[in-house]
Amino acid sequence: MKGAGVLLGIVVVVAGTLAVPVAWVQGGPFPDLAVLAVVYAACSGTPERATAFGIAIGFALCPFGPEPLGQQALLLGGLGWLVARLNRNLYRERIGTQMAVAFLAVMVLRLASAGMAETSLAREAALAARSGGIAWASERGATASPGSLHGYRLGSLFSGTLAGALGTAAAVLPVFAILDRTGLLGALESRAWRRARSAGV
Amino acid sequence: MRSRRIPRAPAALLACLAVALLFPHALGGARTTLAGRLVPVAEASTAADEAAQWREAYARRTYEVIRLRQERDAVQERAAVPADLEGLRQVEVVPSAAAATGAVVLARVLDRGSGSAVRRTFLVDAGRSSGVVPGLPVLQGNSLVGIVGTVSDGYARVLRVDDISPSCRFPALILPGGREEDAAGRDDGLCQGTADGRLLVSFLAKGQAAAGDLVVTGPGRHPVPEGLVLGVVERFGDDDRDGEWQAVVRPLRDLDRLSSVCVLLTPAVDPEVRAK
Repeated sequence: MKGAGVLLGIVVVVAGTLAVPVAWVQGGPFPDLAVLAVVYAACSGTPERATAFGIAIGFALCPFGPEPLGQQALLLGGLGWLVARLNRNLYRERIGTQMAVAFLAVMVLRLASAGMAETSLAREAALAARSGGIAWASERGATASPGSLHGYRLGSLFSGTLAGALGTAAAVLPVFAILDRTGLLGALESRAWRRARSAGV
Repeated sequence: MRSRRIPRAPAALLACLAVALLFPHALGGARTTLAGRLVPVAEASTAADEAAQWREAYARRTYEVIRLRQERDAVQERAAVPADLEGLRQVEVVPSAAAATGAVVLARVLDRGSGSAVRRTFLVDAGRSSGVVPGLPVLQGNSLVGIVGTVSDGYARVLRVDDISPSCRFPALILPGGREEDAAGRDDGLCQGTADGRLLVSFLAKGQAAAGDLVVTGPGRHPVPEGLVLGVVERFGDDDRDGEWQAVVRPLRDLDRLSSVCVLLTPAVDPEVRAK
């Protein structure tokens, strides 16, 4: 029965992510629901459960983007594993810690996504060049000074990522409260977390 | 001898990394189909509104197809060349020929790619069964809004013009004040997406553009026809002072709110004719 709650949680995260315009998700202060769910699972559960949950959300989001199969699963699973492993060094019950973790998680995840996208783009460029479609653009791009384009793109990437990270950190309090009250991800919680919660920490 | 237990979480992450690196395009068609089938379910509650919007959009598209054909006629008139170059002309007007045969597929936009952290794409309900293949241009009205990326039988994922993909690089012409006749003799620039809803046209010289100028696709990017609108110049400058000026371009269409688009099909051209 608790497994159904986790499944429902994944569906809610995917539907919530897809329901908003892409400009809000990538450039606005809209909270990253996937990161919030994985950080909650990592703060309240074990590394194995948090990793599995992150991988599951990553694969669920996979059909709705052009990224390589498994990339989002890797990033979200890695986030869950890392945060859960660091739990013993964090005051994870404190809301400030949770907000800081969510903020850093969005920053690292989006920048890693951008870095991995650049890697996969090189392969896309090779495929497109093979079809002959962008031979002109490739030839032109090879002689370009990349500073201006990269500078512009990095600027917009940082501002969008910062806005998203702030939005996600601000959403920690209400979202974690809802998850605590409803017990939606109860199947992922560890005994230590339950004890701490019942003790009112 | 004590057996050593393999940690499951890092092993699962390594498996994901291996899949992402070794098979980046694995199950591309299957993923597109899955997304296409899931999204209408998610949007079932607004089916009535969607149907009304779709009827309205269909009517609008009909007018757009008529306008496209008028534009095709105009391009064909301009493309008139001496008879001895007739074979060459056939190659150069391939996109217009596609429009001439009515090879335009109307498609509904299903999802707008919010599942991605950095890429800009959308899903349409036209696929291989309608003749859609990767690389084809996707239009709304006279604006280029994307390039077909992944295709399955009934669905296609379109890379938006503001995506950072190399497939979304186009030769671009600046039309001062939006008058096409002023473009004669002008050098072209390279238009690329910036993943923030804007396009960046580079390789321009000082004074070659100004805010408000229209930007259209240039020649040399098969199968994207020349003259499709990319957007309007929002800002023009040389921020890094290297002598190469760039124009930040805002697409005319709101790419976040597209509801239906046209995919411009390209008829198969005899390889011998293309080689000429």
